[in-house]
Amino acid sequence: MGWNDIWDNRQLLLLGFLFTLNLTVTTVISSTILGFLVAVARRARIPVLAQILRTYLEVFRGSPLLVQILFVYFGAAYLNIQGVSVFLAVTVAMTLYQGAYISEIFRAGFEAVPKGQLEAAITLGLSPFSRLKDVVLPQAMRVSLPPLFGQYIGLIKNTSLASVIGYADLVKQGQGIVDRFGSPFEVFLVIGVLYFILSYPFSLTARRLERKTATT
Amino acid sequence: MRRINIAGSAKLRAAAIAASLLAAGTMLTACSEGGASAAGNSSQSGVQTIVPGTITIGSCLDQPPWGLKDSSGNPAGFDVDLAKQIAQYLNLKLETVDVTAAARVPSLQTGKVDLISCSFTITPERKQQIDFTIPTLASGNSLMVPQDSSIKALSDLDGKTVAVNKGGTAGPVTTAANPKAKLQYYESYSAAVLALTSGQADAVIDTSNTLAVTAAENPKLHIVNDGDVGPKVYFGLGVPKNKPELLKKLNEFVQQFHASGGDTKLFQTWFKFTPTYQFKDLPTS
Amino acid sequence: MLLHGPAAGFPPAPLKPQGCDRCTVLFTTYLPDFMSGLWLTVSSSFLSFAAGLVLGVLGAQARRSRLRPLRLLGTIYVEAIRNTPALVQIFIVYFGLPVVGIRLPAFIAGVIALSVNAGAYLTEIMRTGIEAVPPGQVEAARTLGLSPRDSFFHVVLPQAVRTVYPPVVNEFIQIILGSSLLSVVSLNELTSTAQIVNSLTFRTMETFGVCLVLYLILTNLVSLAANLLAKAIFRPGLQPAAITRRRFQASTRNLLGAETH
Repeated sequence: MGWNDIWDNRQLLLLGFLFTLNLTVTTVISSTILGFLVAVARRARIPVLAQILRTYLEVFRGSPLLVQILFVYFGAAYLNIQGVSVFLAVTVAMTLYQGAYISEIFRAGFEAVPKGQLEAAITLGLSPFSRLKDVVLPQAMRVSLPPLFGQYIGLIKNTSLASVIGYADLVKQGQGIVDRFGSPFEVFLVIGVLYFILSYPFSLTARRLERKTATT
Repeated sequence: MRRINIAGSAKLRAAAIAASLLAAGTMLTACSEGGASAAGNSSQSGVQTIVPGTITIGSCLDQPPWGLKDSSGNPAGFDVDLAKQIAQYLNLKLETVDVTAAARVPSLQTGKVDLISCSFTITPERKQQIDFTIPTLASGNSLMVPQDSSIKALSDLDGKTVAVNKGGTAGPVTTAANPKAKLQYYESYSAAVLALTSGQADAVIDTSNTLAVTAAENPKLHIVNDGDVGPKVYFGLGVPKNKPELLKKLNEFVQQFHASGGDTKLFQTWFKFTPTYQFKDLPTS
Repeated sequence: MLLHGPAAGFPPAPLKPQGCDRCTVLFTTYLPDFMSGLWLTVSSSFLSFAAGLVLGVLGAQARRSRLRPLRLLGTIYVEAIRNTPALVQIFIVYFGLPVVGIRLPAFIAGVIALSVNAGAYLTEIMRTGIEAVPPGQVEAARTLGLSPRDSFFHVVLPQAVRTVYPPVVNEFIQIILGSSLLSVVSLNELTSTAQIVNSLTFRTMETFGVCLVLYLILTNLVSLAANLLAKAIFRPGLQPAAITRRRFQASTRNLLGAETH
């Protein structure tokens, strides 16, 4: 009985899927950039900066994403900051949140590069920029890529929290359908399957990458 | 920008640069404000809106029949039709934005919407954050339970669970009505109703008209206490603070909305019964 | 059931907003509510972690089993849970199960959903931990005449525990953070409490600030306790001398998506 209603409303679900995709792609890009910049900045070992970044990592990895989203959205309203839409608030919160985890992945990736590589690069007279770009980065990336994809899977699932402050993603559309037609069990099951379809390819890719870059 | 005689010291130079930036900034802001109001005036309504020529109105599209999405996914409902009438009155295009109950005040404060038309109860708390027009509607709060429920009065709520909307006023209303009731807070009215129909909660308390419609559509639910849970409340249109022009125009609109009988007509269209509290005797200031 | 707060008159009297007595108003009036919210967060997290550990051990056994149906079951469990949002899982348990006749109160539904969720990640963590023990160890143990049971408990397990300890602690922290999702199904834990206090007082910064700080204290306490425990029971200590590429890959293998979910 519920399945017919779900099928009848497939356009709404597609719309929700697109909204989810939009948020996912935006946040993947922004959080990867932020994570990378933070990881590189931490290598520079500037005392004040290092302290600030460490605090940032502590705060955003030690508190729930949902609270961060609520804080950004309602906090912006409280401070009367203009132009903060639901999408922007979620993007900012998720960028900061995922960026913190991603920077740790990059950091571990950097540290996995044997010290000898860096020393050889310095001996060869390469500039710091070239050292990073041509020696450290390629090796660090090979190692970082699988856990990075793991983060992206987490990110896809985390976008579901945007529904809590009203973003019209898959979950919110599903709630709307339950609202009008009932069948919460069937509807949420279908929503779960849709997320699975979105996320599983990333899972497989990540595992393939893991096998390709394995040294053990 | 006046030429400032810069002495040798760096501090003085910095102060000079800061002062000139401040002066430039103030002038730029003044220019842009003038520009915006010029655009606003050109719309013949004399009000400044976020997007010139359009009025952006927030409605809660997850609370039928106040706000809902019709079968094509377009906004519809009492509050949406009210928004359409407002746009027509102000001679502006309408842009409807879906907001959650909890997001009503924040979206006004962040300038995401020009006004809120969404069964918005006027409370002193909210009046500290935003402004309200004169009341559009009077309402009470009602208690809704399943058909076979043993709850027949507010006093039966002792120890029972009542599902309420987090972003609304139902929580304090319930506690005032029966402090021994156990509150379950949900993110939306629909979620609260879902809790009731799935048996997770024993009752729902919310505004009377909203519940009346839900009960009418769902034969498994019925209203036990129609409009008597707590004192009478008023709905109004919400606007951000410091928008006197907009507020004045909207108050004019509300007055003619009542005077013309359009209020009863719109209500009949969406609710198909007479309101619990009539449209007469609404305070007009 | 909130409102240990100001007397439940409606509409509530506006709170005076001047100076720092506004902070004290928030703290003195609503502190009991925050504390009860904190307690629900802590208790639901602990129970979910315990149940999740059990599921994790069982799941790891299933995935390493010689019986194909068991292996398949384990794989389906892990993949289904790890590729769908925890929020949707919580909705299915709380709003969906009543449709098939199972109606669970918010706390129990929440713990079940979080346990099942954590169990999937812990399954992979445990499986990795067991598989990371070099097969030579088991061979040597058998050669020395140890029974399969003894070689598992006295040779494999201690080494596996060393490998899984950090990710398991991390998963516990993820459970604590994940418990914030239970606010959406009416459990009055910390996040929900903050939302309600915010809607009553509109003191957004203070309310969510307090909420955030409490979570930070909680997660840091867990980290600290875990470190102390590790120092006490692991000899030699857990920290590797250097994070070589090999060790990094060994420690993060199979933990896709383990950091955040």
